[in-house]
Amino acid sequence: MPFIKINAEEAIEMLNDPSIITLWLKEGKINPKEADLLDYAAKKDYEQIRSLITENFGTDAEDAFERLSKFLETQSSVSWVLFSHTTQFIPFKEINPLIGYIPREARAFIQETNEEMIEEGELGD
Amino acid sequence: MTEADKDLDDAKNDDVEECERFVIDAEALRDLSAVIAAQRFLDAGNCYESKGNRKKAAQYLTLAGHFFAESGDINKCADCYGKAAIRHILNDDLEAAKIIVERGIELGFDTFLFRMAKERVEATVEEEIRLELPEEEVTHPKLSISLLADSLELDPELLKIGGQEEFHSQVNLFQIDELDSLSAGPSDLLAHLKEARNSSRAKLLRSKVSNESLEPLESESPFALKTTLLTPEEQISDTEFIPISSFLAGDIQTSLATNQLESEPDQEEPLLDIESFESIQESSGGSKDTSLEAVDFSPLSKETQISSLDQEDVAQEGAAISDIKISSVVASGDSSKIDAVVPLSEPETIEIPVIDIEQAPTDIQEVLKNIIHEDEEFYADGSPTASGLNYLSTSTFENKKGVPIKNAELLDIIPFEWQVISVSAPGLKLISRETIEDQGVLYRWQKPLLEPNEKVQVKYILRRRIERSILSRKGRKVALITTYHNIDWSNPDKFKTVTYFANTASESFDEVFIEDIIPPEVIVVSSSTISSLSSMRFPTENSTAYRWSKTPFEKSEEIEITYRFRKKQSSRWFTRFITLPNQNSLRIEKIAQPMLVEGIGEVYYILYRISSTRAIKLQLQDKIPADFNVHTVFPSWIRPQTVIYSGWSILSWSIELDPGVELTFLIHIEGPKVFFPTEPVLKIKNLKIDSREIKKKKELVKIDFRQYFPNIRGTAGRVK
Repeated sequence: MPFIKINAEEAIEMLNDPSIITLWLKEGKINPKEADLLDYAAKKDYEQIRSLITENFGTDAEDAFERLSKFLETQSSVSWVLFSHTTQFIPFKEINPLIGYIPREARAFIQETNEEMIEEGELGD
Repeated sequence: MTEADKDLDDAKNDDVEECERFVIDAEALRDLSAVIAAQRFLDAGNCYESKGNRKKAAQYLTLAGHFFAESGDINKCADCYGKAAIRHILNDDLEAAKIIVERGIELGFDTFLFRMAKERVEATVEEEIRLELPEEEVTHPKLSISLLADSLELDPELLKIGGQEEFHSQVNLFQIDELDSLSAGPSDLLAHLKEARNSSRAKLLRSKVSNESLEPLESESPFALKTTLLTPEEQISDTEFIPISSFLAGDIQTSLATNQLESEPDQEEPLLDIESFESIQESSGGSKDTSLEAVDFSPLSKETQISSLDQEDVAQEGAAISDIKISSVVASGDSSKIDAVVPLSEPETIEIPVIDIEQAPTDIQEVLKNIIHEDEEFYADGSPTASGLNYLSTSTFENKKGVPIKNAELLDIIPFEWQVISVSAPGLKLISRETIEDQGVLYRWQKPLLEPNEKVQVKYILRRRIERSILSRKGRKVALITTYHNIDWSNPDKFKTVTYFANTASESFDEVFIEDIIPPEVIVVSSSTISSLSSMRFPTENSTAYRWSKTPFEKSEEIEITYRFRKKQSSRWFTRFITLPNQNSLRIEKIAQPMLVEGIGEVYYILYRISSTRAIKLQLQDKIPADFNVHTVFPSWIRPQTVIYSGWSILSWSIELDPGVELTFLIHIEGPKVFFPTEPVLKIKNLKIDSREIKKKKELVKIDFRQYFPNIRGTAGRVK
């Protein structure tokens, strides 16, 4: 099973434009843990990559780290395919943020602000 | 099984699996990395906590602590130990808590959470020791008149009636409709309790409750809880609520001695000096008037047109009045309880000192200042103060006619739920205070001559009390007593109340249930009792209810419950409407809600909502204390960048907004202390703020974040 639903072409594109990671995340194409890994990969933060891979890839961690490092160095499609097809995806489950939440009727400070914004420099700067 | 039930079961299984997965991860990693294993155990502990499984939460938090210690992260270890110890105590596993705390002390832990846990363990151990003492060695503090007086905030002299200690209360006696339900357990009885409290059919009787633990009990002792006289063999009428008097007529001698506690219902009390106000109110009981909701009232004046004045009588006194307006915000919605009267003859009055705001002692002035400027808390950056706990109620009496009014009176009823902190009534004389059954305390003010267009005002500074309902059952008979207890606000960090209840009847009760409604301004930090009571805590929408039960409640048995409070923090709601160049407008909303959880740490939910009429890129920044953790971000793709700066974590989001689409996201943060969420910062490239208009107010609002996330599994169905 491929580690991630990102093909080699997209992975290379990601290295050039990391902002695409947020878009994939928003679309649900990758999960937040995978996004973290790709973030670190795009920044070539090997320390964080190793930590995340160790945490999530179990006994395959060392191999996975080497393969990903190889891809980052060479930006070759083959390296990506090798990496993404020989490791398992990182499980992630969205936590319901409202577990334990209690709606309440209570006193609240309410502040309303009306603002106007202008182009910087318009006032003679 | 319905589809919804299946979904619910699936959800429960998923929830359990989620926690187990953390445990499996942690177990697998424990030999590889102590840091990661510790984090996983912590996740498992938090997960079980969120599922309500305190035992497992304590177990895994302890393990997390061990692994953090192994990895050298002492502070995290201390926090985990602290959390674990508290959960062990809550789980009645004091031994485990003691072991953890002792180990923490050995390791020299000194974090906030650990200190809190340590104090809690020490307090619980002390309590255990007290309980283990032989009965004859237990010196109950309530056996002293002065201590009883202290706890009730009464003048000790008022309690001495014929050698006994007494205080007032009111009793509802009623017979439950469905007698079978009596065997159905506490929940049914409590439902009846609610019903009884809200029912207008409840009959009330003013009576006395004696603290007779000093004296041998006499079978004919005049105690309201003598519902035990109602044996099951007695004839029971068909009425739902049975006045106690119908059973006890002739048995109860309300032989009250000569002080103001002894007045018959509606009988005028002799006057006291201002310091004694509280004694009167504390000693006055009353059932909750159904027209009075225990919610915040708006400090706005309500005007009541009085048209029933007898003008002929007035004319005889030489004053001509055709129309008097009088207002009262404290009185109940029943305007007939408020009246403006012009007495036919000069009443006999006694002057008493009434505090004027300007002349008030410094501490009272401070209280008044806090009312006026309570939103100063808005900018405060330290511990919460006593401000915001007070309510100001103003009654105004204005002569709008062109003729003077002689001996005009202003009547206000302060419901029993409110404690009067101070009163200001410049130019007015307090003629009397009377306890009005079902209503509260009636204040009667007089102005000898009210000139045309002259206005007089009475200002009351009020704070809420704890409202307690005590339901006692003997066989098929149930007695309901409602009492009100002041909270000791003198130390802003340690508000507390010690409440006391004793069975002085000659027989035991089958069971007794106590429900305390905690004022919405405070949060209970701890609740404890030396009696063997079982307790439950119920969060309500604007308050918290504590229920205690004892089965059976033996004769001469006593219940003492101590609450410790702290002030509840207000929610904060910021809305920014921003006009941008090119006919673009932006709306940003931030709602920060403290979660008011008991025990350890502080939890806040912060919701952000942003929308724009045109596509725009912006950066949103907000700050939380650096020692707070972001527990959840939802949806997860909108994770912030975090930078620690000068004691704060600066959270920053780069956002691209589509026109007309509202972006809503939520963060859930946890930390060790209270903080005051502030307005978020907005940065848009090449734009700066030109002008700004700010409006501030403090209001009672209902905040329910679930409505913004209707599609989250497990919450959608609960959105109202």
